[in-house]
Formats: sequence, C-alpha cells, structure tokens
Amino acid sequence: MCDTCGCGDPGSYQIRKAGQEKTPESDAIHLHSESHGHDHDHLHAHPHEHDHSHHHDSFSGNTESGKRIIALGKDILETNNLMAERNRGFFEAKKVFCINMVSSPGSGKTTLLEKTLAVLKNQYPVYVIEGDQQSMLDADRLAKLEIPVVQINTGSGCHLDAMMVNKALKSFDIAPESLLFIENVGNLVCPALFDLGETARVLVMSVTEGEDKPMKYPAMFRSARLCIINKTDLLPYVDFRVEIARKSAGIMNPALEFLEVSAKTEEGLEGWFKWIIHSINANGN
Amino acid sequence: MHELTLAAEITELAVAEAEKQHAVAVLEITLEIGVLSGVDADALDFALSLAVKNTTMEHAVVKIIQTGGIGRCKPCNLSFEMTEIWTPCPECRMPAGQILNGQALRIVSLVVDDG
Repeated sequence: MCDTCGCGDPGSYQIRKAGQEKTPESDAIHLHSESHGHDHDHLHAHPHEHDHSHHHDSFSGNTESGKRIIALGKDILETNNLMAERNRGFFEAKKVFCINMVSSPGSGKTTLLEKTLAVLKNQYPVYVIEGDQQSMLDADRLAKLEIPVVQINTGSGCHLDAMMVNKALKSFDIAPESLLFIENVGNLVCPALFDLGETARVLVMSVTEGEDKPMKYPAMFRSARLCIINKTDLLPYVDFRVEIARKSAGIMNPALEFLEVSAKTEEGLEGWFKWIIHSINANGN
Repeated sequence: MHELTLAAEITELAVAEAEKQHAVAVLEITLEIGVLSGVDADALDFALSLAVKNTTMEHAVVKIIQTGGIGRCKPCNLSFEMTEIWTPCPECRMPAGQILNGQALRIVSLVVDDG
C-alpha cells in the first residue's frame, strides 16, 4: 500500500545521513493523520460526466439553506509542483545539475550510481539523495565512496515528492556547480507524477525486464529525457530485444535518448559519463 | 497507488478550504480528472473513502468528471482526440508533440454546510 492507506504507521518518512542511526526523534513527519480506517459506508456518487467543466476564478454561491457552493479550481498537485519549482530555482541559482533516476525495483540503479560516482566525484562535487521505503542499505553502500549521501525512507510511500527532497537538500551544504543524483523509489508508476524539481529525469530499465515495459508504463517513459538500458551483459541469456524496447519507448516519447550499458562489466559507461558532462555543459553550468 | 497520496492531498485541501470559509462540513466535492493524467478514477474514489475518515468531509459525495484528451501535431497542424497517452496523430501516425487537454487533476468545487 501507499503512504496514506491508514494501516500501521504509514504516514511518516524519515531523512537520515548515511551512517546516522535511526532514533525515536529522527526526522519523522506525520503527513496524513486522518486517513485511518477501512470502512466503506460512505456516499460516493460516480457520475463520470464526460463533458468539460467550466471554471470560475472565484465563485461562492448559496444553494439551499446552510449549503454553499465553493468554486475552487485548485490543482491537486499544486503543493508538490510549487515546491518542485522552489527546488528547481535553487538548482539554477547554484548551478546544480540534478538527475532524478527512476526505474522499477532491481534495474541496477544503485550499482550504476556506484560506478558513476566513483568516476565523476573526481570532476564535480557530487551529492546523493537515496529514496527507499526502508533501510539505509543503499545510502551506506554509496557513502563508502566518501561522498555526502542522505537517505529518505518513505515508510510505505511509493515515491519521493518535492517536499521530501527540499528537506533532504537542507542536510547538505551544496557547493555551486555540483552534481546531485536522486535515486527515486523503485516504481515505474507513481514517481512519474511527482516533479522533484530535477534538471533531468533518467529512466533505467534492464534487459531482464520485458521489452514491452514502455507500453505498460507510458507516463514514465514520456516524462524521461534519457533511457538507460542496463545489464546488457545478460543479453545472450534473455529474450529481450533492444530494438523492440527502443521502438516502443520511442512511440511514447520520440525525443527520448537511449544508452545501452552494463553497470557490472562497465561496458557503455563511458557514453553515460559523456552524456552527463554534455548535459551539464549544455545546461550552462 | 499514488491515488492514495492524491486522495490525502485532496482531503487536506478541501478540509482546509472549508475551515477557512468557516463551514462545518464538506457535503460534496467535484473533481476533474483528465483521462491522460495517469490517475485511475476508480482507484482515486476508493482511496478517498479511506482518506476522508474522521474529517469534516467524511460523508461527502464524491463526483468525478473525467475530461477527454486532446493532442496537437505540429507538423500536420492538427488537433485530435487522445484516449491514451500514446494515441498518434491520425494523419502522420506520430505521437502527439503536445498534450493540450486531458492531464488535469483538479478540485473543481465543493458544496459545504455552513451549519
């Protein structure tokens, strides 16, 4: 379930620096205290009207006694989107190039990051925000490279949002002209909707997944700038056809760029480093 | 299941608005969900039934208006209906360069009880 299902203690997330122990006072924020319970004795009408609604800037009208209509016209993602723009403004001002790495679980994001950071930390100040439901495992792995890493544990949450990232950013003292990686929670559905303020969204898929994945998760493929096809060393053992995967992803997003790599054998990683450096330069950093 | 996160956000926004306007309860909420928004209306409806518990909108009637998708193909100078995010231009069969409509996630209106 997601971070609001009301089961157990779902509504909090925690931010910890790599190496920091979990404490009762650790940075927990209760997000949605009112969402407990599982009854369904509510009155839900479902008109599914397929017409277009009309929005009035501000309208408040009386109906029957005591009842009043409030016309809101409010974007549900507004809170997240405003915070994402704040993050983006911070990145622009500091000339930070921020990559939001998204994928399904097990695509090899952390290994790819390990190999990437080991090289690029010699060229840029690098920072990592790790997103996982639980554990410090990934943050501790990357902290071995002696770089600043912050772990966000989303609890039962299925994605990072701009507010979590904003809070995590405050635990770094980010140097200008640096490179920030956000490793999102492994999930190809929910993170697609949540802008974090990143400069570029990079989607990692691996050849052990189906080549039809782009058709199944179109929103994520549409929102990415680059698609990395990882674990190419396994291609001889699986039925994954790279061309089919690229073609179906290209239908969703004709502007999508592709790179084929094996984070394990390091084949193709040079192209990925070049892509990052080129993107940083093109971004005006 | 990001619908659960959104349901909590919707509840929070609606309850706060009702409170700001000194209403005692939200009786009805109308949402606009675009067919290309990536949000499943039924899942959102279900998630809302959980999110509204113990709030002033616990008994609110939820109305969901699903708005259709419209894409625009620049080379063909054509606007066309999109039912899926990959619906191609009917002329050149290329995916829409621009989505004009269908991605909305909006609280349209509330009906509140002034007590």
